[in-house]
Amino acid sequence: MKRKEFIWLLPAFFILGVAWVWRKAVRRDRLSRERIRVIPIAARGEPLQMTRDVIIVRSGDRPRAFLGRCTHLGCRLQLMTGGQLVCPCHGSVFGSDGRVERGPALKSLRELPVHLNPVTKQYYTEISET
Amino acid sequence: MKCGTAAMKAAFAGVSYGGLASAAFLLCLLSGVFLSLHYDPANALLSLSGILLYNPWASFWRNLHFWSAQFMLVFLLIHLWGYLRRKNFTVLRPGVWFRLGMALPLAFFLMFTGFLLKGDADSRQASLIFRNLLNALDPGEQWLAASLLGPGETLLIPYLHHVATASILLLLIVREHARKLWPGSRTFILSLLLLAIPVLWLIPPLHDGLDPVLKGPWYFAGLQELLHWITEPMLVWILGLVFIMLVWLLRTAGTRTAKLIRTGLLLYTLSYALLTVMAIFFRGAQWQLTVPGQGENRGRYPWVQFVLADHAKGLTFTDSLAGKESCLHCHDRFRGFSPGHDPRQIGCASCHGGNIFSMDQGIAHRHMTTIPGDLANVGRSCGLAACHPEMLPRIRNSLMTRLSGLIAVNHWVFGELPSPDSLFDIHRLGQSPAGLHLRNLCLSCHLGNPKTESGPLGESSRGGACLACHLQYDRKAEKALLQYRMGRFRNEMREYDHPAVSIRTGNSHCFGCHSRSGRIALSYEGWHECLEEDTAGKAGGKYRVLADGRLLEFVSADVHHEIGMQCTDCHDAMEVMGDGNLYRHKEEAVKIRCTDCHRIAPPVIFQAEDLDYESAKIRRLWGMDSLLPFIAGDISGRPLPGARLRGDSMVFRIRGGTADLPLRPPAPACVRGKVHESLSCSSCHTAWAPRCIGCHTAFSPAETGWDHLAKKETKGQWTEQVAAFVHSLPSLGVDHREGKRVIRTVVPGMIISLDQASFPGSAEKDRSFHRLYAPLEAHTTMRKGRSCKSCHNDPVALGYGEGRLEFVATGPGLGKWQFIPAYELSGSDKLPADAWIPFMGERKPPLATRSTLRPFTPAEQRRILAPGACLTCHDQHSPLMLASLDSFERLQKNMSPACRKME
Repeated sequence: MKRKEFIWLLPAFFILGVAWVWRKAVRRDRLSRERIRVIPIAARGEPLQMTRDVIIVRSGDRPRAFLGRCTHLGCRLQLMTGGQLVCPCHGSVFGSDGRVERGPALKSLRELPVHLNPVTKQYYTEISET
Repeated sequence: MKCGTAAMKAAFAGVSYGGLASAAFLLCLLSGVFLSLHYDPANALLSLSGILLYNPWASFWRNLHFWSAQFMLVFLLIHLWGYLRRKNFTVLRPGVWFRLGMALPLAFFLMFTGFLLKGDADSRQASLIFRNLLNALDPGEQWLAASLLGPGETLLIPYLHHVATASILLLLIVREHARKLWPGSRTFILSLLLLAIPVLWLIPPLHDGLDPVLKGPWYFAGLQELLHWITEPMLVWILGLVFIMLVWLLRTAGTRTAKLIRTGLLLYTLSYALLTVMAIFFRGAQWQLTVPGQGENRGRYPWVQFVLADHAKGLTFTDSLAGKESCLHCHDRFRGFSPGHDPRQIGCASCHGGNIFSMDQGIAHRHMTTIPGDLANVGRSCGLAACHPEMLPRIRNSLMTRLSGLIAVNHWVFGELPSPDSLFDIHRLGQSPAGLHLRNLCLSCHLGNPKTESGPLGESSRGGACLACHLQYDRKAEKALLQYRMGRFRNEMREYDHPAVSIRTGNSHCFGCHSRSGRIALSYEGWHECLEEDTAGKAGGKYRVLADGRLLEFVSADVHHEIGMQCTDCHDAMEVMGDGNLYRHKEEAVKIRCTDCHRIAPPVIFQAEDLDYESAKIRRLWGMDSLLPFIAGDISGRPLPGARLRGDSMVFRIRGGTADLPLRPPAPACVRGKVHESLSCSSCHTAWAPRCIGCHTAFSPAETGWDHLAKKETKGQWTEQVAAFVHSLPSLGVDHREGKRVIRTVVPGMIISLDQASFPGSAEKDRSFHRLYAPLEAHTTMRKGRSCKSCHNDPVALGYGEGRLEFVATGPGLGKWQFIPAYELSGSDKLPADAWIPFMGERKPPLATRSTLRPFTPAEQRRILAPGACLTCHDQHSPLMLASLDSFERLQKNMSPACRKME
């Protein structure tokens, strides 16, 4: 490699270096602290309940909770006639059990763990926020 | 003409698409500076809707900013296409060519960040999509998304990129490419002229957050459509990269390869244009295919004429669910709302639609729904995502919407369904004889029946979906409506007494529909529907005429009505609006039981933290949230509307009341021994039940009928001729529902001669006679139960019909029952007109409107009549008869010689 060609490569190395440092600096966990939001769930209630971010399903002894975002590209879901959850952006349809009934989404809704507070006997789930 | 054209050509000589794009970009930068003074990235939607409503000068800058950006992109695309058609690019250095190639993605990024900065519903979803697309490239550390969009959902980082990073980079590329920034006066003037029309007449759209249709910007609509078809987001990046690579290769490609590349780029562009057209014109709510101009689209295109007038002088605009609304600018003194539906909280558009960003009366009222809450528009009003979306599937599945039982029984009787217990839906109803029978006579009573006129609900009201139960007119609202109809508000409507929409559902809401069929709304208040001839010779009776002309006679009211209880004091929201499940008959949907309140077993209780959101909210709205703990219903498992524990005792608080009423357990006689354990409470405590005896139903082909479902006339109609309306203590039947044997109250459900032969196309053999009893909770509860004789010695209770039932001696120590019916025997089955079964006999099915319901068998009749024989001599309160409650068999073994045993 000639010296002139090497000098031309210097800016490229510089840009790559800046990008590497930048990437490390804005990593999701470094840019902001993740917060855990606790969402209480009543044991009894409607079979399908939708909050802003969480879908609560009551079909057995213990309620279930799903993240209310489409697994295709993350749009907030809408609750539709027949208890289906529909993505308003691209039309994916999920059943009340979280399974995909119509694409383009392929994965079932992300199920959130439901815990029982031993003191208050109150069910709750948690979602992380940045 | 030629002269004029030549003059135009001369005037705009040297104007190019590239120059126009540059001019539009400069205007965009300039207007952006002014717009930024009014824009707040922390409250993007509020600041933009504020600009639209009360700052027409800032609105001018917003219009210029938006339209110049759109023009820039369009001219840039045309310019690029013209540029790519050139033969030779080798003169350009690779670096310059690369930067030029990046101009288009950079322009898209600049425009897209502008779209995100709207902060409305479209933008928020677009931001989520973009973040997920970026994360597909970098799923681990997600630094790309963090760099371009920031960590959360704030708009600060997109704002920074929009006003600085992307703008400066694009400016540098334009400068390098064109070697100048100023496109020239002629080009600049032409771009101003082209922009004048949209800037002065068309305000760019702002999603009101209430419209279910969500679409990205027009230049990414094709991408949105593409994403509907592909499951792997990474494919989007690959397709984008291929496009850029094709452009990159064009610089050094030979003539033949360059031609192939250009064809490829053309196909790319045409395919994308097709997807864009599809997305913009043929996609509706939830990305479903739709016809252009139809569907639930209600506020996406608020094309508003731009008016430079200070509309908002001295006025404040309300922040509603959708941002700031223009509605209250003109309607600022509307009153009468319940707190939850006050337009100062939720705005007007969340119920009525319209265009909240326009100050023009015509445009603001376009697509407005005067009477919201009907099933046809409930998705755009009460069922909006921000309001009560969870109610939609419940209401649509509820029995009051689907009328499953009513339709299934009717079709079964007509021979069109194999079982009275089939699941049915009113929306599947056809034009068969049974279908038309219901359409002519019954189908105004369902929640889907739209409310077509403003005004309070009355005795003749039917349907209306949400309004059927929640609309409340007080006297002021009624007066205001009258004034409105008389034209008082023709020019101005600032002040108005609006009806309330609230939780305070009263008996009057239920009355319209439930005063028909089983007539429980009438019975509950003590009224019995009768025929005019029935009143002859009855002096001193208490009568009432309904709005539809029906005559009522007062008998006795339900004890719960007498103390002021409303229907919803027992029937909670899950029962009334449905719990989402499909039910065949009302007795399946109704979970409340008398023993929920009047109980012996200790109740399951609900503390405040046990309550679900809906139950807690309802209690709070009724001011009953502190009355703890609540008692759960045995069947429903839900907290009862007003029953609770106070200390060790159970009490009931009527909704809206202040006093606690003691809840008494069943009387000792109710629970003594096992002989009556299968009786439902209402078997003994129903004071009376309406009985409709004999009905002839025929089709009149020559008459014009009315289809209550389709709201149109029908050729021919079904008519009914009723024989008699009477009332008496109810009959009793055996119900085997849920695997249990329960004695229930029943009434003649369909004792009907059906002349199907009169229906066009039917055969002569299609005349039929049906003798079916139906279960009915008559809602005429009395404190004291019916007497023993009223069951054991009563022909109506046993199903023989009215008449004289006597125990007569037949020999020493022996006797037998005999029955003389009050009604003549029917020619069809030789039974008395009102009977269910023959005296001491049985009939072949079908017997009842439910497959689980039957009359007493001959053996059961004998078991009932045996104590009846004792009761002809012994008082029901005598020690002997009371002892029989423990063991009647022991009593029979120890009968005295003076007693007569039943043969």
